[in-house]
Amino acid sequence: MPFVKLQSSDGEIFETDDRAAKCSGTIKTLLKDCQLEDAESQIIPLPNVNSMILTKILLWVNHHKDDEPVDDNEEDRTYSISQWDAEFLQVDQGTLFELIMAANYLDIRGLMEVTCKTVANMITGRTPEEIRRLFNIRKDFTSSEEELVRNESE
Amino acid sequence: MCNSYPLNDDCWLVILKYVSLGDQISLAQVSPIFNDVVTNNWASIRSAKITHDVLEKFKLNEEQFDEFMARSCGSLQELQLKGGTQELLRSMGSYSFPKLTVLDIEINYNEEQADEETLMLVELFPNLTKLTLHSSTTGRHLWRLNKLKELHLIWCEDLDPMTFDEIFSSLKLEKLSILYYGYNVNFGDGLLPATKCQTLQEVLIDDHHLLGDVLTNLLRLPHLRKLTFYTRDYYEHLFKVVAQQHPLKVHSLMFNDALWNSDRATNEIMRMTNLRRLVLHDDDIDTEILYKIFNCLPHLEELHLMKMRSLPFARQFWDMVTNCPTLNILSLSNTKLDEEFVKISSLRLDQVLDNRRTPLRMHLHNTGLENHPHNILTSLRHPNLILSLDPIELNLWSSRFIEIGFNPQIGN
Repeated sequence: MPFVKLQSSDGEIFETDDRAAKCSGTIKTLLKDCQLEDAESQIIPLPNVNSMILTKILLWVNHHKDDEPVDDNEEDRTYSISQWDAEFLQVDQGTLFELIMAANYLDIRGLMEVTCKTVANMITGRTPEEIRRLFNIRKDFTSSEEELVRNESE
Repeated sequence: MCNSYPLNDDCWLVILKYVSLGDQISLAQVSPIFNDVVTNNWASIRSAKITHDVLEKFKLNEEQFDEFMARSCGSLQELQLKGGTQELLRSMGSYSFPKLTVLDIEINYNEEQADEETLMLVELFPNLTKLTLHSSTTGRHLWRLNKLKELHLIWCEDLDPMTFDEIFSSLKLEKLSILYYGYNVNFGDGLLPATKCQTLQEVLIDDHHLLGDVLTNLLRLPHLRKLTFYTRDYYEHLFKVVAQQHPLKVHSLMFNDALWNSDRATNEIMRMTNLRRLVLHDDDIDTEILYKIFNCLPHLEELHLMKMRSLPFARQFWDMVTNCPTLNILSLSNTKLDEEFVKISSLRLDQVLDNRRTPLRMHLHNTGLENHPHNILTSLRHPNLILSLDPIELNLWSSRFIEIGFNPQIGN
């Protein structure tokens, strides 16, 4: 199947070529397990990804669809981010976190890696107080209050 | 609302892969939730790097140090510890590290209690297969690490050669380094017990420690495949010993800022007629000498002339390549090339490459040509030429060293 249709959580439908779509382990498995690979009219719903984030993700997978698969070997781990990715990730913090969540849900290893490296770089060299300011975290939250806020966010 | 909370623990665990231990300690102090995320991660980490900075942070929060040790000790496989003290080793004594096999440790000098420290070390980490040690150890107790395959002793100025017999007769070492980067320690024949370790495959050492019978004996080891020495004064002599005793065993050579047009050394290279790979890095060689070497090495497959002071003229250079049909990798990376070199090369390509059986891969990373406004590299086109702008990774662990690769299956 040359094209795949994806539906974002807010109902928008996106068409992309299947090589780009299969950068997502989740979509790849879905196409295979549900035997959708030959069903061009089939729309795959992505209830956890809104159209703004899906647009960004499709931009990323189309740029990286010919990349070598990401290696999990810790020794080969690189901390560098390509110039293209660095420019792609010049977004506000909220969008960056949404991209991480979407990359995690869609199982896009390369995107997960580069977005997580970006957050790691933001943390590097900062004091606890600076990290609190960076992520807008109140120091005086108790553990249960934090849990509550966290659950509400989810 | 806290912006960071939408991320679940799975995402944070991926982020933490790229956050140093020192920064993880800061992150853990941000809030109870972050403390949980970080400390949960510690329970599954396989490697950790404890630097001076990390130790300073742990000093300010000893509970966190205990938390780190308690959580990570069961999963840690590799540990790098810089600036350790006996006190620190003692505080680690309450934990066991069953999976820890690789340790790179730098312990502050403590001559009086060095043996006690070494004993603590071998008792704490009994399963080590690779130890890199920088301390005031005399070497005593190291023989107890009976699973050790790699022992790297760096700047261990109090090493006592009396301990060598015990170490090298007990351990089945495959890799050994004893490095001082200078003459501050000279074992003389005291190092001979190391040459009896029949399992040794790779040795890294200062050149003065190879004098006497040490080099000759090492060269007799049945599995020796790599000898690397930091060199100041003795490389011509040592090289001569290798060339006279085992010239045909040598299959690769790397000179890092070490050859410097030496006639004597190049004459020895010409005896190594099984040579497959020759690397010169940050070095210098005359065109005439290079030409002579080429004519004596009928099996040469790789030539790396990287970050060279100067190169032969293009015409002579391609003449040499023509005379070496076995050459399949040629690297000029990090050596500055000019437009003239490319222009002449492009005129010679057909003549040099038309009759080759296999293509020649040419590496031109960082030669100054990549960003040339007229993209002149496009003029270097031939079906038998593969151009690469990717860097070649060399293990440049120090300035001024020579690395000799042997084929242990070839006897002389």
